[in-house]
Amino acid sequence: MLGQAKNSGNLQVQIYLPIAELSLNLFFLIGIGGIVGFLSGMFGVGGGFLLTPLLIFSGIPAPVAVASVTGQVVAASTSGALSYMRRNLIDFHLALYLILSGIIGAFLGVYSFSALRQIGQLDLVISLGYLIFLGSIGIIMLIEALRSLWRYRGGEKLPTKLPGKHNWVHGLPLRIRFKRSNLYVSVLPVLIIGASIGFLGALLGIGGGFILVPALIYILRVPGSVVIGTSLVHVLAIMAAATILHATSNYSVDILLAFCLMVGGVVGAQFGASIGKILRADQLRAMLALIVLLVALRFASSLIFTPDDIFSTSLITLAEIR
Amino acid sequence: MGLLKYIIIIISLFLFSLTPSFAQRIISALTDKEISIDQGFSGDSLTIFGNIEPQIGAKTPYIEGPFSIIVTIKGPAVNRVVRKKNKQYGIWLNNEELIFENIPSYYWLLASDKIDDFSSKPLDKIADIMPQKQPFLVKVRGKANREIFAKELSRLMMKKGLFGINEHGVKFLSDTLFSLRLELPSDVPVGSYLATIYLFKNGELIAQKSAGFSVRKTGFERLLGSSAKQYPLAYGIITVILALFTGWLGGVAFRR
Repeated sequence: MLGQAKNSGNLQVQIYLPIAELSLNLFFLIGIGGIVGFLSGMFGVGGGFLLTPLLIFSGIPAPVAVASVTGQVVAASTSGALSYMRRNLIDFHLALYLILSGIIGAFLGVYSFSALRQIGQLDLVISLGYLIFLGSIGIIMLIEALRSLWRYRGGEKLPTKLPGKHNWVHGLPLRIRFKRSNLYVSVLPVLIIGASIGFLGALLGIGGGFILVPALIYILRVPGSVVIGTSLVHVLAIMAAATILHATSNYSVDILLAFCLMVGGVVGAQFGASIGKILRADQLRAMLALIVLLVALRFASSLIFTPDDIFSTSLITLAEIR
Repeated sequence: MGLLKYIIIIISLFLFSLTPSFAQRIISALTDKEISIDQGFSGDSLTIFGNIEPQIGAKTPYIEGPFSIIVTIKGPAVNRVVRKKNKQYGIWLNNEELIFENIPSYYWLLASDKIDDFSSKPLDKIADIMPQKQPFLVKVRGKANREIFAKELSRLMMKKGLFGINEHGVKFLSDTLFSLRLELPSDVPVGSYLATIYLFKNGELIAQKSAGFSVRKTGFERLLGSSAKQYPLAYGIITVILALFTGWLGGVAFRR
């Protein structure tokens, strides 16, 4: 497997992770941070949905992986968010509503995380969560991207605005005008989206950008120009809150692990962002959809196929036994 | 290998700490009294030396070698849960569990000969000190089958390198001088350890000696480990500030 705890590579620079309580190869950690950072910069997503599974498959305990990746996602989103801010591509008004509801969601997410960990079903919920959300989002994204690629091939000009700007969501009460996004929508779907992403983000160790971006585009009809910047600001704020919540309730944030991933991620993201500007949005979406589906399949196989070992053991504290 | 230190520290010379009926005593020394976990820690090894000497003032006569030795090394006690996956609703999920209380977090048995070669009389004693036996000796909580889960726990612990048997782990350098080397994995549990040396002659236990050492996080690792538990809020906030700073710095450094 990738970077075993007892490594035997050529680059023997081991780093001891004080919270995970094992040592891993430093270059392996910075390397996966860099690759995932590259992809995250390219697609404008946090990258947590790739990083958390990679760490879990490398032998880092799931609670430490999830909590430390939340810290890494903060760093990965910061450079992106700043770059979008300079280009004035963020709707801060919309972001504020998303963030406030998102923090409540993150709180519930971390609470569920602790509860599931105690009853031994955290791994199952993480696997199922990844499978369901990555699977469904991946399929929707792929179909959508393939359709638009098909139209592009046919020489058809892509519409600048999505057809049917108003859907049933826009008929809900409590409407608010978001000037930057040129939207006049009910606050309810905004809050529900914000809270759901916060919940899933904290529970699964993902920024949620890959769910938030399509939700903002297809449900709220936020224009493509501000979608990525706004989603990055939301991811940044929610993951910052989730990091603190994980640190205070689960003590499972490994700052050294997070820092190694951050360094790789931040550097990778800069290169990814340059590539992302060259490629067309529909091409990017198709690629992202494929990656998302691959991760979903990996989790599906772990649930469906007979595991290598049906027995597992973990430490448990007296408080958890009661 | 490079970490192996040959500075011998005599940790105890309690001449009369042994049961007086033994005609011999064991003098032991460890290469390290404390194993430090710092940034570059990727496991370590520890060597224990020992010598068999006549007991001063013993009433029974001194027995000549050759001897047989068993050494057990026990880590700090922890609670562990063992879970079993079963296929339910078409997917594999954990649905059986058993909690083992105060199980050793680390347990190795090293011997100078094959365990079978130790004659039948002390075998009852040995049976209890075998690593596989440990999960059977502690209190459990849960409804699952104890027999099966205890066996699986020792198997899992052996797979992790936290439990184990090395039947030729104790080497005699002369008739009375012996040494043993202990490998500690990178995820070695932190806390106090106890090494117990059992001396056998023709299957009879003739002397026994214990020596302690500890595994500690030191320096920066210790600071991080303890502050995560003691000041979790500050620790979380610092992580976030570090993340923001790293992200910002990256943006500035790569701005074109």
